[in-house]
Amino acid sequence: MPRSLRDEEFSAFVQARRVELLRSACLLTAGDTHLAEDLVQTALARLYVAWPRVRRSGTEAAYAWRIVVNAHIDEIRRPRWRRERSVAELPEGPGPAPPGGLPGGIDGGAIRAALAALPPRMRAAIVLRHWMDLSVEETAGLLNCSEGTVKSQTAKATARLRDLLTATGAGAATEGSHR
Amino acid sequence: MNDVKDLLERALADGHGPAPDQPVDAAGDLARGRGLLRRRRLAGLAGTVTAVAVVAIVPWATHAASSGPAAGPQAAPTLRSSGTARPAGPIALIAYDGEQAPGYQVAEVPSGWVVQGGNAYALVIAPQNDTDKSIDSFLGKLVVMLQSRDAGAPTQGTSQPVAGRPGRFDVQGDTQILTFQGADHGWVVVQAPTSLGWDSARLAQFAAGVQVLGNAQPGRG
Repeated sequence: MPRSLRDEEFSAFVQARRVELLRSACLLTAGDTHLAEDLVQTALARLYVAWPRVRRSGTEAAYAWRIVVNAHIDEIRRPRWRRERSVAELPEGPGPAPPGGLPGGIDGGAIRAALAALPPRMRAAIVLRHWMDLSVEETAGLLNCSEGTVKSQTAKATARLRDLLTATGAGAATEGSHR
Repeated sequence: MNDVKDLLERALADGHGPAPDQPVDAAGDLARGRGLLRRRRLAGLAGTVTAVAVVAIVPWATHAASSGPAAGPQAAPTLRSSGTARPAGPIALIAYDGEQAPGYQVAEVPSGWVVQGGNAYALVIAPQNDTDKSIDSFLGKLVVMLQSRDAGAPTQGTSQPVAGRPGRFDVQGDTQILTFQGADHGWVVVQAPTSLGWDSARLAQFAAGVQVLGNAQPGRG
């Protein structure tokens, strides 16, 4: 099939941004790589449909991100998802470290469990602000909320993450970096 | 916790996220995008074909009904009672990737409808085959505009938020009006004909895809 200008531009965007998008989606889903892949595939397909308009406005990445974030929040709201994924409390402990495990005693599984325990919008706020380094204004635009809400959600998410990791014992090693 | 980014990086360890240098093959995403675009276009075409078929059938049926018993007594009453060529259900919203007008952009339009035109004061969306091409005529069309600078916050109708922002929904005759707080340009008005078959939530869904550009201007009066 001949490739159009849309195809060329879209493929270049995917080459450049897909991994970054998928890594961020993995954090949004607290390590559920299958769901993250679904979200990214959905976002990129919809981005392709809207490509001429989005390309003109220069908001390709933001458009894809908005779909990923909203689709994730929608997914979380489904009863099936709530039954399977909501985490009222963290596991007893961080569990055994994997071979060649993480330094500082912080296990990746414990961090994912702590992320999973955060409400989805709170998790999105912390990922957008701390992982993607988006501004408060950009995050507010993506989450469709006020900048004040972004600030409070990010602060609460950070504090709760710290408390959850401390509760499991895994956070103890990070205490020094908070001061 | 100033090391949150490091914690998040660790959460991606042991196979719970791709490596930053993982190779990418865009072919799958390209194929899925093309497939979705094809389905959207087919859905739009189906809507247009349906509308054209109804427009073609109604005059025929009306003529048949007026021609007496020999003209088909079973079909005539049903079609004659429909009165206008309204669709049986609400017209679906589909992603829009056609030409946009200055002042406003939309993410979705009713299936079979297109941006007819616009300027800094209004965006006009109408059925693709609409014979009324004047963008100063709003009758039976979907229109987006900024709230008049002489009007205050809306008070009539019922509450209908748009993307988390406050809005009011009202029906006046054959016209639905949704006035909602725009992201950064004051109140935005969306006017839609009831013939779309939409409820306030569907209208709000459309409104959520409206982007007011910097050159949009509110009217007076």
